[in-house]
Amino acid sequence: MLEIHSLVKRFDDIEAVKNVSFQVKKGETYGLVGESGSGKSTIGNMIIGLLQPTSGDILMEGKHLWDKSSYKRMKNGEIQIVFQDPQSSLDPRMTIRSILLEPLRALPLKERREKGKKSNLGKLLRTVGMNESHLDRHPHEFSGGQRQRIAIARAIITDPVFIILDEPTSALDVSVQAQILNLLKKLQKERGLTYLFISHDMSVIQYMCDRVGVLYHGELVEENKTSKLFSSPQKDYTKKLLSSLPTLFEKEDQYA
Amino acid sequence: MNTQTETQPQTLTTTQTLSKQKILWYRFKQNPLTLVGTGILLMFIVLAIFAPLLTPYDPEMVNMSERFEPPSSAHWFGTDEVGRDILTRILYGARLSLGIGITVVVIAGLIGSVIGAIAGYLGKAFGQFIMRMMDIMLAFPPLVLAMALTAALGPSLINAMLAIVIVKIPVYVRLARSEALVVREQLFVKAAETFGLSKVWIIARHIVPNVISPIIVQVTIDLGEAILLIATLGFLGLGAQPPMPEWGAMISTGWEFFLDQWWYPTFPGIAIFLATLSFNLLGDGLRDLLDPKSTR
Amino acid sequence: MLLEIKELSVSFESIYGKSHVLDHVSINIKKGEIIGVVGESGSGKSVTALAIIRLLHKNASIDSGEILYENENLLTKDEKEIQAIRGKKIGMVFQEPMTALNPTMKIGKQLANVIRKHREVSKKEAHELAIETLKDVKIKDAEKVSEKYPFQLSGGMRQRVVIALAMAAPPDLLIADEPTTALDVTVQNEILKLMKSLSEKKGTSILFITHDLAVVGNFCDRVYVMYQGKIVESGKTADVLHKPEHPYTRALIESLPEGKNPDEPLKVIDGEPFVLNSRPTGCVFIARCPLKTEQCSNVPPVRWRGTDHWAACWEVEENAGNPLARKEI
Repeated sequence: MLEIHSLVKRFDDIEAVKNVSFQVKKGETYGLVGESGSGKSTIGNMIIGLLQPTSGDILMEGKHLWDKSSYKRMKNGEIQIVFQDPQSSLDPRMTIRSILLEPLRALPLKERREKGKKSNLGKLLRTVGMNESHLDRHPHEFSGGQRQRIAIARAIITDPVFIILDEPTSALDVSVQAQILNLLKKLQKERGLTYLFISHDMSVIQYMCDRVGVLYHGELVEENKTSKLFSSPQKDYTKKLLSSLPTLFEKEDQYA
Repeated sequence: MNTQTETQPQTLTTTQTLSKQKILWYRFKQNPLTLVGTGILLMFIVLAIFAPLLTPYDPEMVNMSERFEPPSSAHWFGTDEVGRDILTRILYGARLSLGIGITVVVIAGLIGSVIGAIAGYLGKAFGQFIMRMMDIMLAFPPLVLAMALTAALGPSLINAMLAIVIVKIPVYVRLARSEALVVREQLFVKAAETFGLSKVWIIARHIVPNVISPIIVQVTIDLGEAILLIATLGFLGLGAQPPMPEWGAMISTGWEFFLDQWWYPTFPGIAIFLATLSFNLLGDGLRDLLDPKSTR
Repeated sequence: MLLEIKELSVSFESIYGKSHVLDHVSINIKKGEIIGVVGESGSGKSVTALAIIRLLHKNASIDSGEILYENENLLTKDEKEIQAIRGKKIGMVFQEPMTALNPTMKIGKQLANVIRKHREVSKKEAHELAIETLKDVKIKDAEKVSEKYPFQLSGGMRQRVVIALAMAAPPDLLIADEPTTALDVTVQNEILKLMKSLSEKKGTSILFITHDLAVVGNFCDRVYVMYQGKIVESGKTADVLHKPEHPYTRALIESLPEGKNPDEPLKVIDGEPFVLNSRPTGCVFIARCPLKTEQCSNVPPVRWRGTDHWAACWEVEENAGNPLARKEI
């Protein structure tokens, strides 16, 4: 579904993404894991059109997303993104209703009317575990977890086929994180969504993803099925990453 | 143990147990000086609205038999050189000064926020161009620039207002731009960009509304200055023309008589002082009030 | 006992009126021990840390309890006495290292200044000691680093420097409030190793505050689990993590994705924490607890599960220890 070929992004003289290639298959969750400065969010931003690649190709169902310096999707709203910080991803001055309706503005009028109907908004909110009575409230009236639910509702209102999840639970408490992860899995199953899951948290990646790519300083150092990558990591960096992971299970030498 | 896997949050435990009004009022009370400022301002507004009911005199009617009456029970603030009641003229003058002041800064604030939001969001060459233009305007002292503009346009109240609008715009552009530079990095702006929405929509719907709070504070503080500027231009003969009961114009004619008829320029002066003070206090209070970070 | 927090209650005055943020919290730390305090946001874990070093916000008030440091109550000391304890006896490391560093001063000089505050040494000796301290926190090229400014270092390096500053005295107790939360896992791992080895070498106790249960796992000797201003469970780390008793601790561990089957949904804690002004009178976890019964609207008792392990819950059965004979509640 998504193909990335020799993707490069240079900021001035720093190469943030170096010759990265991978593919995401329809219906799967592909994890991109890496530490700060690994370029994982930069890749997400290039796919969604916020950053222009220096070179390389991004293809969505065989069509180029970047044509020279202009970003073109087959259809607005077919790719969506959920950001890390639900504090800042919702405009504090807007009501939940206008927040949800916003992505529809880029769609044709007929579709916009259809999807923006009040009954549809209510259904959408119930899907993410909220309800109609929240429509006229403002983001500050909700907790972090609820805001992330709203952000997810906003992402799925256009019926996207592909969603980039950029550290969607990193700013949340663990107990809330579990709710959001369950919600994301449920939505994927119901709607046949394809996810690109960007995270620094190996245990979340392990739970969420079918396949994983490990990024290190802008390079994709290893890629494998999740279970294989965790059971038999090949590269030194992946091994180091896995052994650094704090664990509930007893591990005598972890901090020795 | 906890076998429930539903993702429904059952209770909505958020801050809406308190109304927005109550929160604002709570913060408002924190600063007693704001209350003083608001009190003075409300007084002026009431006096301005009910001026015809509060005084038996006409602000522009000449009555040569009562010229230069000192303060008395009939004329609390005395009378001027053609026998008009000074208190009456101050009350009617409040309508002029407040009305003009508010009109001028609100227009300047609106224009300034829009230009600033555009300059901040678009950045790059266009933003730089606008900012250098504003720097040129800011290089002049506001009074000098206002005087020059009014003199060039011809002395009249309308031209004085126009001049003050032009003089005040750069202040708001700067402020709105620096806010816009912060807002445009917020994720909700990035999100809107990913939806494929136009720049006009993003500026109108996200940038402008989110830069407006500091502008409101600045507008309130500047109201005092605007009233002062109007009065100054009036005093210099460039603004309101006689016989309009404008405070600055009153002082302008009154100061010649200051040694013998001290009340003539003094009371309009006090009015200007109080009005300016009230807006400054209110502006300071609003700054705290509109800062979303100060919840305590 | 090095530090004993006894029945500490703290409240904040805010627009909501008085909110209780700590509700009879008791924590004790022995010499050389590494103690974990785990809780989600709003649990009061950071307030506890700030109360110890008397850096609570001015709208906070201490309603009851005492904090005994070597049997002296820190809460009754005046500012000057507290100043003497802060840094020298009790060191601090926070999440954001830049808040503890002076951005305009070279690393070596900052360290030397701190050392001269605690010890009678010449400038030159202080500088040498500063470089020694940097080597202690496993900084290679200590001489070079001492000539740098904080902004020239990476986040992990800065946190090492902050630890070096905090350990300069060296203190008896190091309070570390989410010291690795902003760092990458590989760096976090190294910082935790470093803290553990320093604690062993210098006999310093550590009060480690975190939201991350997994980090506590192999790092702390004992752990306190906090929820909304209350300690709900405490015990040896292995006991709490592997034989959790309080429904909150159990649910929290269940909700972690680590080692869970990806084909099954994670078990979640329903709902969200209450807001501070709607504090329930009985058990703090009542609204979200799957095991709640009628008696949960009364304050739950401390139930002992082992010599060191207890949970504050009506549903937990007691099987060891005698709470009345024990001091640590």
